[in-house]
Amino acid sequence: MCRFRPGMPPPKPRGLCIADPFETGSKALRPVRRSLPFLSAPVWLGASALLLVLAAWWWGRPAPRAPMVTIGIVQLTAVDAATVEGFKAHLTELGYQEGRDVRYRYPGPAGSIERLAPMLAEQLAAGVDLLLVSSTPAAVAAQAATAHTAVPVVFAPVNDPVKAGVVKSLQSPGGNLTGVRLPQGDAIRLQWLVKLAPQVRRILFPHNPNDPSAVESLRQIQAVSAALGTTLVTQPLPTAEAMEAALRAPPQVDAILLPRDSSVEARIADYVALARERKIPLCAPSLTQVHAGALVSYGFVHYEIGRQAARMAHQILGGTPPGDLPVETALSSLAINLRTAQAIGLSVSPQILRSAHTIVR
Amino acid sequence: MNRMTTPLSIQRRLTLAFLGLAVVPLLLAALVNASLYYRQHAGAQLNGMQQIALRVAAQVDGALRQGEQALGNLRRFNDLPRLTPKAQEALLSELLAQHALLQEAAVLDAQGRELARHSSVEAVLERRDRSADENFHRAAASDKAHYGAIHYDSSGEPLLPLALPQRDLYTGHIETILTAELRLKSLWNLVADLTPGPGAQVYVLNERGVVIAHRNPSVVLRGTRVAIPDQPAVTQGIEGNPVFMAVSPVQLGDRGFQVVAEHDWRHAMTPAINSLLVLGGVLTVALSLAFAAGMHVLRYIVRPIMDVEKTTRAIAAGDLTQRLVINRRDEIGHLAESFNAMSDHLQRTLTELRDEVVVRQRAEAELMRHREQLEVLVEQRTTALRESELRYRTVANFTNDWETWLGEDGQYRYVSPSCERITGYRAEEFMADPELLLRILHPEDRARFQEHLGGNREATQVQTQEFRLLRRDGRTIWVEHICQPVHDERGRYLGTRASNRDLTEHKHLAIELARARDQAQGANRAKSTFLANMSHELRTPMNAILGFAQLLQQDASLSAAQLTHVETIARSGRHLLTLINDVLEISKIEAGKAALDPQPMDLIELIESIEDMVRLRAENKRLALVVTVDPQVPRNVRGDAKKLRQVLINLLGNAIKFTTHGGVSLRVDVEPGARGRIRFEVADTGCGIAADDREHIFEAFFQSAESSVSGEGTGLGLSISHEYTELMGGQLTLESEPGKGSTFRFALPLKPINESELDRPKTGGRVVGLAPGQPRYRILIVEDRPDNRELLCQLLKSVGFEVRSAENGERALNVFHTWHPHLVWMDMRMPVMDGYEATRRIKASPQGHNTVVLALTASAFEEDRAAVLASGCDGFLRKPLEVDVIFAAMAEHLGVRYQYAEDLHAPPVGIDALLPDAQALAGVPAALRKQLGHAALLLDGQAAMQVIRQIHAQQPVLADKLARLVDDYQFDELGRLCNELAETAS
Repeated sequence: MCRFRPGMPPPKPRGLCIADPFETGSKALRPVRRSLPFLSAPVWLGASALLLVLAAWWWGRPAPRAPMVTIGIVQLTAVDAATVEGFKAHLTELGYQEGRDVRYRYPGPAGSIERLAPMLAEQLAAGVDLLLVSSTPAAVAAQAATAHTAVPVVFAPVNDPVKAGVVKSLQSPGGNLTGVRLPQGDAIRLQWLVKLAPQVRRILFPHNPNDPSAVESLRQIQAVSAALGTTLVTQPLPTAEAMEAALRAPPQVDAILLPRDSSVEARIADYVALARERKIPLCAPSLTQVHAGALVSYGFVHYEIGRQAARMAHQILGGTPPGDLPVETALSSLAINLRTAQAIGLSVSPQILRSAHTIVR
Repeated sequence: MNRMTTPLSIQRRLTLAFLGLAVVPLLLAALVNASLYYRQHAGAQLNGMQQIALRVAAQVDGALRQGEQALGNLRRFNDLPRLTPKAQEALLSELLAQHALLQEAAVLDAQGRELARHSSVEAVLERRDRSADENFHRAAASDKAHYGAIHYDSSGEPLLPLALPQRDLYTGHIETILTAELRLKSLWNLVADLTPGPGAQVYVLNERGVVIAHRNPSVVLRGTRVAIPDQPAVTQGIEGNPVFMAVSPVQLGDRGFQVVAEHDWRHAMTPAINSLLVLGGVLTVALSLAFAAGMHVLRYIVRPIMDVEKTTRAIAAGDLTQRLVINRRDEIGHLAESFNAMSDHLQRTLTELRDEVVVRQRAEAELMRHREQLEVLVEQRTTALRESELRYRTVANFTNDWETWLGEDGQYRYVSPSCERITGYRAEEFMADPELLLRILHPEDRARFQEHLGGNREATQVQTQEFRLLRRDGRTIWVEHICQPVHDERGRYLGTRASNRDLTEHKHLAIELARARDQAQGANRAKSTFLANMSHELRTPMNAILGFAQLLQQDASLSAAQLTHVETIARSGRHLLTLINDVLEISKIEAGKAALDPQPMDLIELIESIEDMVRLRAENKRLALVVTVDPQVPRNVRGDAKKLRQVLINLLGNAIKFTTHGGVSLRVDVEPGARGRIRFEVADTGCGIAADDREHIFEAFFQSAESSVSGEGTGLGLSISHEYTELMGGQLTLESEPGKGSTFRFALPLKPINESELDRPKTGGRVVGLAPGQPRYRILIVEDRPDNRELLCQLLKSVGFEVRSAENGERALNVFHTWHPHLVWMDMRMPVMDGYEATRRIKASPQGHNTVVLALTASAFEEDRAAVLASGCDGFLRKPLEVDVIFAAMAEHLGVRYQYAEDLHAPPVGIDALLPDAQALAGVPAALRKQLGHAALLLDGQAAMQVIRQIHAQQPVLADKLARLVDDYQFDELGRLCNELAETAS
C-alpha cells in the first residue's frame, strides 16, 4: 500500500505505486487479480483448446477389447481327444475365435498319473486363465494344483465328482472346480440290449473287481437284471492272466455286456471276435466300442461332453464363479452297429433304429 | 490513508453487472442442458432394456414351446391311445432321441395311470400310478398345456414338468395325458447366452417373482426373489443396486413367466456423467476466459480515474511529490499532464525555501559539535594519565622486590618501600644518600658491583648480578640484582631501572639439597654394592647347601624322618635360590640397571619354542593349550628375545599353575592402526584374581590369596614381567573375573626387519681349531674358582692354544713375568690380589702394553664396566661366558683365525659348542637325569639348576653347558636331551 505518514521524509515520486493495479479494488476479487498476469488471452485460449482436444480424445477412444484368454488342457489318456475337439468347436460357436480371443495350451495326453502334477504345474506357471481337465485323476490332480490359486477348472468328464472329492455337492460345487460328470446309464444299456435281442437270457459280465467303475456298473445292472428276465454270469478278472484264461475258455452265454472297466475295454477286439464267433450280441459302454465292432452301446459321447464343458467355460469366463455352476451330467445316447447285427444274424426294428443317435452301417 | 472502495464505487458496479451478464446465462444453460441430457439418456436405457426383454422373452417362449410342440406332434400324428404300450414306448423313445430338451416322457390314461414311459437317464421297469400328481390334475382340468414347478432330479438336473391333455375329438373327454420333463438347463443356457454385456443382465421369473433362470445358476438355486415394476423404470435390481429395468411376460400354457432385463444405473450412466463433467470443464474454462477479458476492460476504464483520485488526495495531505503516470492520448492523458505541471511548480517553490533553512541550521550545528568534542578530549587524556600513574605506583609499592630507578645524574628517582623489609633501611634514606647502597655492600662484592655499575650505561640487555649486603641489624643477606638501562625513543639515556630480590632463603635450600643428594647417592652406592655382593656370593653357599642336601637324599642309611628333614632343607633352599634370583632381577630393574638388548629375532620360532615348552605341562594338568598367531604378525623383528621369552613363560607358567579346568591360550596379533604394535594375550580359565588383588598384582613380593595357598613362587614373576614389558615399550594389563579366569595383555613395538637383517647364526660353524699357519698363542687364565678355570683351560686347549692358569692376581703376576703370555683372561674378584690391581701392575710393566688383558666379571651391574676399563683392561666379558663370544674376543684382540666345522647344518655355535653331548650326559646318574627331565618339563628353572649343581660336582663342563640351556630358558632342548637318553637306555 502507498501510505504517507506525516513526519516521514518525502518519498521520491513513485509512479509504479499509482499504476499498480493491486492497490485498487475490493478484497473479494483480490485472488483472481493476483493470478491475472499468468492468465493472458493466448494462455487461456491454448489451455481451453487443449482441454477440448483431451476431452474429445477421451470421449472418442475405442472401447477396450477383452484380453485374450488362455485355456490350459490336461488329459490323462488319448481317449479324451474328442472332448477337446467338441470343446473348441463349441467355444468357437460361442464367439471365441482361436488366436484372437482364445489360445489353447494342449501338450497332449499325460499317459501316466505321475506326469499329471508336473504338467499342471507347467500350465499354471504359464499363467492360464482356465483349465480343462479330462478324467477323474486329472481332476483330482488339478484340484490339488490349484488349491492356492483362483484358476477355475472345468472337468470333462469325471465319473463321480462327489465321491472323488472334487466338488462338495453337484448343485453347488463351491471351490474353483466344476464340469461334466458321467451319467449312470448301465441299467438302460441292459434294457436296450434286451429290447434289441429279446431272446437273450444268460449274459456274461466280465469285470475287474478292483475297478470301482466296473463294480458300480455291476451294481446298477444287478438291480435291474432280474426284472428284465436275464441272468447275469459275472466273471471277476482281477489280473491279466485271469483275463487271458477267461478269453481262451469262455462260458456258454447268450450275450456279453462289458462294464465301464478300462482293463476289459482294452480287450475290446478280443470280445468283438468272441461275440462274432459265437454269433451273440456284445453290448459296450460307449460309442468308441461300437465303432470297434460292438453291437450296441448306450452312453456318453466325448465330443458332446466337450461341447457341454465349453458352455460352462464360457459362463465362467463371463464372470460366473465356477463354484456357483452346478455339475452337469453328460447326455447318454444310443449307438448301434448294423454290420455286427448282420454278422450275428440279428434284425433290428426301425423303431429302435429311430431312437439311435449313431448307426454304424 | 483509507481508500477502500465504497459499495457504490464505479468498479464494483461494473464488476457486478459484468458477472451477472456473463455467468448467469451460462449456468442456466448448463443446468437445463444437463437435465435434458439425463432424461434423454435414461429414456434410451429403459427403451433398450425393454427391447432386450422382448427379444429374450420371444426366445424363451420358443425354446420351451419346443417341448410342448414335440408332445403335441406325437398326439397329432399318432393315434396314440390305441397303440400297444410297447409301441407307445417305442414312440416315446424315438421322441426323446430327437429332442434333447426332454429327459423323460410318459403316456397317462384318464385316471392318471402310466400306459408307457421312457427315460433317457434310467431304466423303466414299472408303470406308476400318477393320479395323485398335481400336474396331472391341473392338466386334466384344462385344455392347455400345464407347466409344473421346477424340481431337481438325483443328478441335480433342473426339470420343468409339462403335462398336455388329449381329448377325444368327438366326446371331448380326456383320453390320455402326455407328460414330459423338460431339461431347464437349456433355458438357463439360453438366458446366459442372451445376457448382454457388463452391467446388464437378463433373467426369468415365475409368477411369484422367484428367479427360475439366470446366468449364474446359484441365483436360481438360492430361490432369489425380485420385485418388478409395471413399467420400465429405475428401480432396485436383483443385486439390490439401482437399475434400469424392463419386463416382458411369457405365457406358457396356463402359466405366466416374466423375462426381466436390467442395466446397472451407475454403469449405464457413466458415459452421461463423463460428458457432463466435460461440459462442466468447458463451462469453467469459458467463464474464466470471459472473466479475465472483462477484468482487463474494467481495469482500462476505471484505473486512471482511481489514480487521479488517489494522487489528488496525497497532494491535499501535503505530499507534493506525487505525480500521475498515465500515458494516454485521450482526455484523461491531457488532464494528467496539466495536473503534473501544476504540482511541479508548487513543489519547486516549496523546496527552494526549505533548502535555505536547512543550510543555515547545518552550519550552526557543526560549530557546536567541534567545541564539545575538544572539551571531552581534554578531560579523557587527564583522567587516563592520572590512572596510569596510580597503577604503576601501586604495582611498584606493592611488589615484594626492592625496585629502584636511578636517574642519569646518579640520583635515585624512585625506591620502593619494600627495601626496608630486605635491608632494614627506609626508602627515604636511599633517596637521600645515593652512596648508601655501596656502603652496605659486602666488602668482597663491592668491587664487582662498582664494575657492574660502570658498564651499565652501555648495556642494552637485562643484566643479573648476585651479591651480599649487610643489613642494618648486621646480618648478611644474598640479593639478586636485575637491572636494565632505559633510553627514550631518540636513544637518550634516562637512567637505570633495577629490581633486587632477597635470595638468602634460596641459597640455604640449595646447600641443603646438595647435601641430601650426596647422602642419597652414597646410600644407593651402598645398596648397589650390597646387591653386587649378594649376586656373587649368595649363590655359592646355596650351591653347597643344595648339593649336599641332594647327596644326603641319596644316602640309603638315612631314616625316614631324616629324609623328610633333608627334603625340607632342599625345598627351602630351592625356594631361597629362586628368591635370590628374582630379588636380584627386581633390584636390577629398580636400580635401572636392566638394559634392553634389542637384536634381530625370529618371533614365530620364539613362540613355537615356548609353545613346545609349555605344552607338556599343560597336558600333564589336562588343560587345553591354544596358541594363535595372526598371519599378519611379522616373522622377523627386532627385540629383546630373552626378556620376551621370560615374560611369556612367566605368564603361561602362572596361567597353567592357577588353572585346573579348561585351558590356557596365547594369542599374538598385530594392533590395528598405524603403530602396528604386536599384541600378546595370555588367557586362562583358572581361578581368576580378586578385584582387591588386581591393584597390587604387579607389585614386587605381592602374592594373591591363591598363590599364598599354593606356597610356590616368590611373588616376583609378574612384577618382573611387568617391568620387562615396560622396559620393552609396552604395558602389561590384566582383566580378570574371580572363578572365571584371567587375561594378561601387552603390546610391544617390535619393528619388522628384513630376512637379511636377521642375524642367523654364522654358517661358519663351530670352531674346531686354529687356522693353519697361526702362531701358537700363549694364554693365561686367572680365576679363583677351579671349575671355571678348568672349563676355560680345556676349551682353549682343545682349539690349540697354549694355556696356563693362576688362582689369584699375585700368582698371575709371577706367571706373566716369566712366561709373557699374549693374552690374559682376568677374573676381577679374587682373594689375595684382585683383578683390578693385577691388571694395573701388568699394564705398568714394560711388556704390559703388548699384552692383551680381557676382564671376566660376574657382576650384574653395568657400571662396573667403567671401573674395569679404567684399570687398563682391553676388553670386558661378562659371565657366564659364551664360547663364540670368547673366540670372537680373542680374534678381535689377537687377530686369531680359526678353522670351522664344515657342517653347514650345525646348530648355532653358542648352543652347539655348549650343547651337552648325550655321551657326557650318560655319565650322569639316572636319578639325576630323571629329575632334570622333570624340572625341564615343568619349566622349573630353579629345580633344574639344583640338579645341574649336583652334576657340577662330577662334571663341571657338562653342568655349565646344561646351565646355559636353563639360563636361555631352553627347557625344550633340555627335556629333549634327557628323554632321548632315557629312550636309548631303555
